[in-house]
Amino acid sequence: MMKYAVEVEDLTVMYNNIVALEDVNLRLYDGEFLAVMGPNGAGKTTLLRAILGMVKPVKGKIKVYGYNVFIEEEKVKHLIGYVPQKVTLSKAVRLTVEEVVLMGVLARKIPPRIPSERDVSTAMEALKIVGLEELWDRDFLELSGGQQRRVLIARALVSKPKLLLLDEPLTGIDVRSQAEIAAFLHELNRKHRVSILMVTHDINPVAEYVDRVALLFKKIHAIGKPEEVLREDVLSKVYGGRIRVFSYGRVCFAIIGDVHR
Amino acid sequence: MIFPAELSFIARALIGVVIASFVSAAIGHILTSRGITFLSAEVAHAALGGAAFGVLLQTLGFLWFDPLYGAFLFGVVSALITAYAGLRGSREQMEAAIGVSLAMSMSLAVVFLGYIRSEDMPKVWGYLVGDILLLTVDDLLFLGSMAILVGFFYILFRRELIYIAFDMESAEVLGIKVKFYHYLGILLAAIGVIVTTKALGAILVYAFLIAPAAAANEIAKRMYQIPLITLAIALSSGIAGLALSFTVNMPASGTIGILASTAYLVAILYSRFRK
Repeated sequence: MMKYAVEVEDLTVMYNNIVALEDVNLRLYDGEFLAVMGPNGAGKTTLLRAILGMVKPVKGKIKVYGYNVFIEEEKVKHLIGYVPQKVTLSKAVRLTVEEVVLMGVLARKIPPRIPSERDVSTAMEALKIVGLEELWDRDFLELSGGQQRRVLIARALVSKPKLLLLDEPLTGIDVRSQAEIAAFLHELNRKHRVSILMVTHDINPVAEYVDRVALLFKKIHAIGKPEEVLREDVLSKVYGGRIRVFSYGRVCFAIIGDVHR
Repeated sequence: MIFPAELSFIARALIGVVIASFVSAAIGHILTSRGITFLSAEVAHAALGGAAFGVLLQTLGFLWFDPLYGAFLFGVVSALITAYAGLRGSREQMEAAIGVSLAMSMSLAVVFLGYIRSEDMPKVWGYLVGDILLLTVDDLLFLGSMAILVGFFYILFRRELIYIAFDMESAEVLGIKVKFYHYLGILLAAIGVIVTTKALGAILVYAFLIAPAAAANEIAKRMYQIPLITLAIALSSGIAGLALSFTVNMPASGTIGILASTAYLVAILYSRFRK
């Protein structure tokens, strides 16, 4: 059995001669839930895009379940489910929830990608996992932000991935929806054994569920259990002095004055 | 009483409207989904510039160079520049490229027109205002074959074209060749616009290719309904426009444009009241 879901070694990525990531080393264990946190411009999305094989590094290697993401792209794509940032979605396209979830199945077929009954039931099963089967016929754009995220998670789960990559899944939604999605991801990780790598600028909603937290700003500044990383002396390396951490039971709350570097 | 000769041109106009309606169903869906409806105006005006270029070449002795070749050359190149600008899915970059290409095409058209003999001017102006009543059998054959080409690729790849419009990044992760379908969608749109411009003129093309699809976007509940509703609106406004133009003696192209645009306004009102 493969020990690591993701292995990132000495990864350096540059955009127009500006360093986005520098000598990043990161390992996600199979079955682990890891949150990568950092301020805006830290390189979080770039890290995800590199793991997806969409960004060519100037240096370094990335493997997903032992497969090199830049050489064995097809094998890697079948192992990964991806949930994008909501801002990348177009509001000009009218799709029902069914059509959005089916995209995850049909994209892997050949044109004209006509859905079979099995495809439809697979999509429905994925929607049931996120608890939104009653929204099957609804217009995707008319759903709340939290519901949209869950539909996108269902689309990512439809191919039964071993690894789920999420880009800021809790941004722009209300606190209740954040808590529901965080608890759902925890269940997905524990019950369905899906390895999860999630990037976020707000760790608090998932702090009690993640196995480890990585602190990223161009490079990995700290990685460890939440209580090891969510400390003022550690976080201040990246966020400066404008940070306070409060503990409440097992939960740590990091109060961060967001920094735009 | 309708004489056989009149029946003939009426029949040709009707066939032209039917073919253009099918093009509208495919192209309108692609362009409204990508949020770049003005690409139709850009390509139509580039085709106008290209037609002027073709007429100028004929004036200079290159009689084999049909103005339609010029329309295709300029229209396709202009669309591909826009596609290149928006390769990363940025609608803003494509909008800017559309504006610049439109300005460039019109400027070139004005320059070329300055060198064209006055008796050749109608060949160019036909691309601007169009006249559905002047379509020849050859025009219809050309329009029909291009419509079949565009329709075939749309039916085969419509999901890919809609997926990249909705979520380009995830489509790429899911294994869809995003760059290929990005260029294909814009190329199909360009071909559809160029052939429809020849029949309807650059001004009417926007109303006929975009307004029905925009109306369908407001009404449809599912993706597959959009091209069907677009086709219904384009057909009904096209045929009703032709009928009106004959009965109350209005210009056919303008009447069709007014009806297609009105359908969009009605669809918006319907959509708001439904909610």
